[in-house]
Amino acid sequence: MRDQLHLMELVDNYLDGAMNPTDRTAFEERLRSSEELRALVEDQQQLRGAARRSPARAAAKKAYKNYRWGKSLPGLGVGAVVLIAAAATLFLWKSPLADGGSENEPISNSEYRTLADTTGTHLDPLVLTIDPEKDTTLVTPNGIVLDIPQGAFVDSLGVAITTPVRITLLEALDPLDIMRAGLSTMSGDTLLETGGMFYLDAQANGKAVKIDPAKPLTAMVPAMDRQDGMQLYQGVKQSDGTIDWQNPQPLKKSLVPVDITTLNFYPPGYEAMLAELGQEATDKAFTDSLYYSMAIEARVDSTLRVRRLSRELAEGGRYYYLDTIYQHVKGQAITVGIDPAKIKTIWTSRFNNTNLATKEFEERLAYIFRTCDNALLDVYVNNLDKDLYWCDSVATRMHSEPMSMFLRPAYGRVDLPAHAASRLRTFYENNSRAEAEAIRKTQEKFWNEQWKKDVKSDAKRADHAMAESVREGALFQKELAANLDTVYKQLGYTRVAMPTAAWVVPVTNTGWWNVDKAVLQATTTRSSMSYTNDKTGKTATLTYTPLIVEVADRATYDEVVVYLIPTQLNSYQRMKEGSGGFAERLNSIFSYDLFCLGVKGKKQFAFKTSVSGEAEIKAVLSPVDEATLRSMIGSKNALQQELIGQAEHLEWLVGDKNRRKSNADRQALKAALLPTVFPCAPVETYWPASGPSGSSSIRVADAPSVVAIGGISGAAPLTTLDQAPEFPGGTVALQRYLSTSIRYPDDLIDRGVGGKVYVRFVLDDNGDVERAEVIIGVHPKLDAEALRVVSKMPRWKAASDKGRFIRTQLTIPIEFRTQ
Amino acid sequence: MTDTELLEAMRQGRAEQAFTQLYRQLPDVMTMVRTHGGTRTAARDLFQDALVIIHEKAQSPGWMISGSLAAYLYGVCRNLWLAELRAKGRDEKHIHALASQPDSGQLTTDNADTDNEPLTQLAERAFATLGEKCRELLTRFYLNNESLAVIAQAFGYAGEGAAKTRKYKCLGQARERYRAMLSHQTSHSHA
Repeated sequence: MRDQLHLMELVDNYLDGAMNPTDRTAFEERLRSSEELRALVEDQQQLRGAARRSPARAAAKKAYKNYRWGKSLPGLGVGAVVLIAAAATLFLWKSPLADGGSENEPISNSEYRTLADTTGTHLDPLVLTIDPEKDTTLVTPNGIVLDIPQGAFVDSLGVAITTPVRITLLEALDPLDIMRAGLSTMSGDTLLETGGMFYLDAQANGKAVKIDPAKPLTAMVPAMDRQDGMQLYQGVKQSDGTIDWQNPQPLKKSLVPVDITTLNFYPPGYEAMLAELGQEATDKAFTDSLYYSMAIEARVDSTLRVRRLSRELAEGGRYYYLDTIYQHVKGQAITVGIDPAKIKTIWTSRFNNTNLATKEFEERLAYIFRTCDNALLDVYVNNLDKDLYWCDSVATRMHSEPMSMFLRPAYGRVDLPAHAASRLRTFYENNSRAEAEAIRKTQEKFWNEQWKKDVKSDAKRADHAMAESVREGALFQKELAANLDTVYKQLGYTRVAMPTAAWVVPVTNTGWWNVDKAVLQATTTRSSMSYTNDKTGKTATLTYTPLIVEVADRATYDEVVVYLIPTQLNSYQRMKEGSGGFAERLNSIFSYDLFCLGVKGKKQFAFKTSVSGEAEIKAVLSPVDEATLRSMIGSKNALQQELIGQAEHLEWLVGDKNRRKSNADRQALKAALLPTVFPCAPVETYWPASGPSGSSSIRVADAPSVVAIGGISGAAPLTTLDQAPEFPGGTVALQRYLSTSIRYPDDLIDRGVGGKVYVRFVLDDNGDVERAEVIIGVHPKLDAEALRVVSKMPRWKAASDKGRFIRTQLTIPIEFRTQ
Repeated sequence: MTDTELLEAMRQGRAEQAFTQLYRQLPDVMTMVRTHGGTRTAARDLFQDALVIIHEKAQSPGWMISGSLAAYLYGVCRNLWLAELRAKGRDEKHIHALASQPDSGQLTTDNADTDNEPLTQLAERAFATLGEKCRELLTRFYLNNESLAVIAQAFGYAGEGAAKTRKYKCLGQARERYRAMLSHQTSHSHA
């Protein structure tokens, strides 16, 4: 016996961790070998646990009893001071008035005392003093919540009491208490089912006070089950001292319908957020269409959609529906918030004169939005033939937080015939689905179209850039030829006419070759030169002088281009725009026409003048129609047509840019609104909508376009060259070089900014890069980065044609993409 | 009472008060159990078990919950019910539906809470059959960690030695009953 006790003590020590290491090791050794000991340890552990839990178990049982009878429902003080709550019935216990006075007269102090004295002394009254000029909420030990609005108490003349009010609260929630208190639950001959009652008395300065009928107190007793048919009864004390419950009244607070369109069914904060984003928050047509257009985001509940979106992404679509936020859940439907399509369905005059067209519902809706549970909204809409409090109680079951706050007063309903309710239910079911589908289709159609337009416009811009490269290559050829002619004439040589494009001379004479080289240099860099032949003493000069064109009010135009038209060459070039305006260097052997074209929205503006020599021109553009434009451009027919084409392209370009910008703005706006409209959407995937990790890639989108500018064949396409220019290591190496050297700015990856940057550059006959420039950009940072890396490219293997290395001009589209 | 106050009340022996308030969560649990193949009674028992579990956990001062106590309570109930469904091999669809129910707030996923539930209940029943003195003695030892000296004084024992002997006699008694119940149960289930 003693051994056994000692052993248990050891086990206790072991379980308490109170053994020293040596003993512990020894004990564990014994434990391994003895099954009996193991069983003892296990049992003791269980029993120790049982000992620890036993008080809690007892407390839980008692607490359940407390709770069991403390259930019931919201009640209303209708001017009486005594309220009794019951499970199936809510009692209004009127005082047994000795003088047979009015119904609203409160129970007198003496009456209360009598009652309290005569009915079970074990009922402990809760007595406290409150300030009637403040809202007060009392919570009793048994969990009854009593809301007392400010100014609820009035004196016999109806004047609000300002002095402290003493509240006496007596709970008789246990059936035993009720019986002991002699509080029967008879109504005439009928026995009412009751779970409990409570008693309330209020006094100021020792006098009983009334409750202002306009400001009823609200009592709430936590209910386990909500039952229909709960009513308010008046208690009348009978001559034998028992109480009879009379004059049952339904417990409801009436709902006053208002015009539903005057209510606000937007998610909380939606309008404020719009205003913050600088949008027209007061324009209901706009706010509605924007909000409803987000319906698509709430309803990605089919895996099919997500898969289709993924495919679009893979194909490089630039627009992503915001609902690609679902991508990361791999097709699983998740709830992000209340579906705007549902709101669109109910926020119409069709639901006027229903529970929905009330301030009370508006108030609930704000909280329904917070739960993100569409089913919760359905409860209210699908039960228009029931009392609002019925819906509240179901809602509380679904989301006790925050919906339980609406349980306090018992709200009734806006009367509606049952068939009307069922018709609206059907309408809601069908229409919210139809609305969602319609919105989804519209959205999809719109963005698909935009995406197609983007693809087309990318191609068009690339074509245009390509054409410009070719034209400027040709122009360079012509200018070079003209320069050579001029220089040869000055030096007294006759220039050998070549069968094809004129300027190339076989290398038979170093002198000539030097001249060619110097002229080429001057033409390429557009700088003046002077060359003296040592033998003849003759000197040849070429002069280039700077021209600067400043366009008045440049910033007000969407787009401005300035063309220089050398009158002798029947071609033109676009001037480059820098911070100080448009700048170029003019060749003195030509005279030039200057032609500025500006676009504001859909209006065209133009300016034309002639220039030669050094000049600074201030161009003031004036509005033009097409006829004016044609006459302005002048007589050169081929050129005229081309310049008209440029004007048209420019107008298109502005339109396209505006279209893209408005699309981007729209997406950004929706993205910014997403957390407000769908509070439960996963935060980390708001934007970009293009993928979970924000990874990115950079690649050469197409083979570089190559134009030979210095070959015999003139502006020859690549195919006629013997040897195309080649990046050391080939295209794969080029790809690798670009993707490893270009740094994609993180912020742009995050925002999903990407696209193709077209970089044009000239490879000289050594294969070195010169004159690199961005001809189509995406974003200033990306443009600069592409340009930086292209300019620093290693020496290429230059192109060759007919046995000579030649200069070529290349255009590389570098694609930045976020995945 | 706030969550902190509720936990504090449980630590200070005012469990009944705290539990009364927490019982307001019973309707939610009842809905959960009843929609997943259980009865009201089952829900009530379950709820009580959950309160006891939380009470025990609350005794260690470092124990914290990150969400609301109500949500935690609900989570414990859910796990208890899941364990019961599994143990009884009830309808798979209930288990599946309940197991995949989205967590509202922080729920306990600690299944250790519930693993040994039948043994635990048995131990509690065995403990309940002890005399009141024995129960109080052991509770003071194991729940309140009172020292032998204090207990000896409170119960009017001659000294610590007597208190210790008394304690292990009570414990031994509890074990005997526990063993008896256990063997009864096993033989019963084998029969």
